[in-house]
Amino acid sequence: MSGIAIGGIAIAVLLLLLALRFPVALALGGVAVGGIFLLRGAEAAMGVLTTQPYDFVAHWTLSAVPMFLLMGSVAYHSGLTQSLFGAARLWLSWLPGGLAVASTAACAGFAAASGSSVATASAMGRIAIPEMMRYRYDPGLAAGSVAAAGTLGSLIPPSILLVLYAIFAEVSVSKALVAGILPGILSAAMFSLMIIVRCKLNPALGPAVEERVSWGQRLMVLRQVWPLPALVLAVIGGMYSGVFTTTEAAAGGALMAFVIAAVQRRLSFAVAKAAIIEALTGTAVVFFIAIGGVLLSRFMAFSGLPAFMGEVIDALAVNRILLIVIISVIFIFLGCFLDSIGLMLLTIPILLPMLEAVDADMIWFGVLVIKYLEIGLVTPPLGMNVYVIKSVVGNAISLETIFKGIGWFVVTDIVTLALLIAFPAISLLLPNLMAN
Amino acid sequence: MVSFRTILDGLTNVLMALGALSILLMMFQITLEVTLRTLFKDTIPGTEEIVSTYYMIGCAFLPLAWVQRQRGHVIVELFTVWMRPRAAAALDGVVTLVCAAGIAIFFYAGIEKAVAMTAQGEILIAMIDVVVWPSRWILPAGLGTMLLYMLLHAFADLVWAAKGGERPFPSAVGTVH
Repeated sequence: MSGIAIGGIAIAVLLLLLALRFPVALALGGVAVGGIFLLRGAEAAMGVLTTQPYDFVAHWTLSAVPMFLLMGSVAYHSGLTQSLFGAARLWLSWLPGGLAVASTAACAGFAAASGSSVATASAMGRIAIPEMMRYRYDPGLAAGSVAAAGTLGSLIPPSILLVLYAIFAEVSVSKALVAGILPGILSAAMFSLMIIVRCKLNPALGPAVEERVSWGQRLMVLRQVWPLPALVLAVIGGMYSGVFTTTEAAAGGALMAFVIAAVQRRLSFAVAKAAIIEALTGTAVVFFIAIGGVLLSRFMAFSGLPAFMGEVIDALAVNRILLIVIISVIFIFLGCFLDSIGLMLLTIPILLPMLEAVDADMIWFGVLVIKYLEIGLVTPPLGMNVYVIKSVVGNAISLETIFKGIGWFVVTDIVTLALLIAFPAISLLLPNLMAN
Repeated sequence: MVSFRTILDGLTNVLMALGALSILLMMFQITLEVTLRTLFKDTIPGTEEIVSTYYMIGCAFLPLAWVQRQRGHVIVELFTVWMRPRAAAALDGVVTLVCAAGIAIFFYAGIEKAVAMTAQGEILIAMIDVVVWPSRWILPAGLGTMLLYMLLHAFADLVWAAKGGERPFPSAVGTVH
């Protein structure tokens, strides 16, 4: 059997194993090592298993992942993120659908600090949804806005997914992270615009909040919340200016999160312990899947399947936009069934040669990949964020209502995606201005 | 059985504590290095090598047994939600056994490499020579402990699937980070 055939069959076996509840990491790694065994024999398979996992993890740039996770878990467990919704509310509640706009803004801020979409949805869902329900907001809009805005975490820096993407696609990590800034802001702005327009047309969706907020109150609340946005901006600024590498900015950010929590008297032994345990388990889970991804990309290279696909694309003279559109459909389809990191690591080794064949910019493509994965987080049947929101609201809102409410946000996200595809400059402007 | 679990739990907690030490040292040493470099044009020799080999390997592999204890590895539940709990447990038991066999091979590969690098006295040559062979043992330590948990879970799942009664371990729950 040819390598290409073995590569194709391996993908099918992989999907079968995932359906049978194999852990994603072990399904990726197991299929990869088994495939290398078939292609090159036992010695090559053992050789890859002996060297690749250690060499991949023992990586300076990759240490940004545990550091960003630590920064986020300290900010969350010490309660630094708690007042975000309150602050956003005081500033934005006068808008049509103001509470939903405020929860979108607070989610964007929380996501920037935590880097995790699921954590964002879970934390903000507890605070923002009950508040919106109290003001008789449409339940679908209330739940949908938090579930959808929670996904901003994987785009607005620091983003764990973008760090991993950059390492797998062999592009600059700090440029990839900076590339997420404008698309992240654009996504949040599009969500807000959609909420405002819908609530303006149908005020029953989000009844106005009758309260007068003075500028004094608005400024007062900023005094409470400013350390968190300042921390995120300092981390991004450090990377952007080239003063710090991503790893250094991440480590400094984690330490500063500890310092801020301590100064605000929010840091206890229990808080530190919970934060460290969460960061460590997150790191181990992510790296274990990434090791599976490394082994898979090694196997794919041996099989020759990605190069073959690249040649096919080249021979068919497929136009870049057409290829991206085809990839979008595949991603959004697979995103309904697979988890984010697993899907990204499964597809990158096959897609990169195809994209190279059409001269696509890999940083731009990285932003698109993250956007696809975000949409996958809120589409049925496996929209992780939707289930997180469901577990937060309990029986108050049905799963069907949440998915219906999310529909508007998915449509908005597809428009945003189309804008990102049509105007690569939205993603590439900032990274191209960066010092090398 | 209970005493085996107590020992395994203790070992898992010790590995997690060492993992915590790795992540904290990583944070402090990198920040100190940047501060020294920016303010005094000075440096801590070997930082990159120590962070990469000891702290990173520690963060990635030492918590694996803890994750397994919580059944925290990511799985896709979508296609099996229709199964009865005991049928799902039977499937999980078999799947975990197959995975344990895979992890055993991975563990063996890790031991083989660690023995070879120890015999060779592996070092990385940077501004100073950094002795890295001990870090090779972190990988099999984490994987080996996780392997023991997997066997425990597989055994418990299969027994429960066959006999019913009170479930000894929580079911596998997919978590996505």
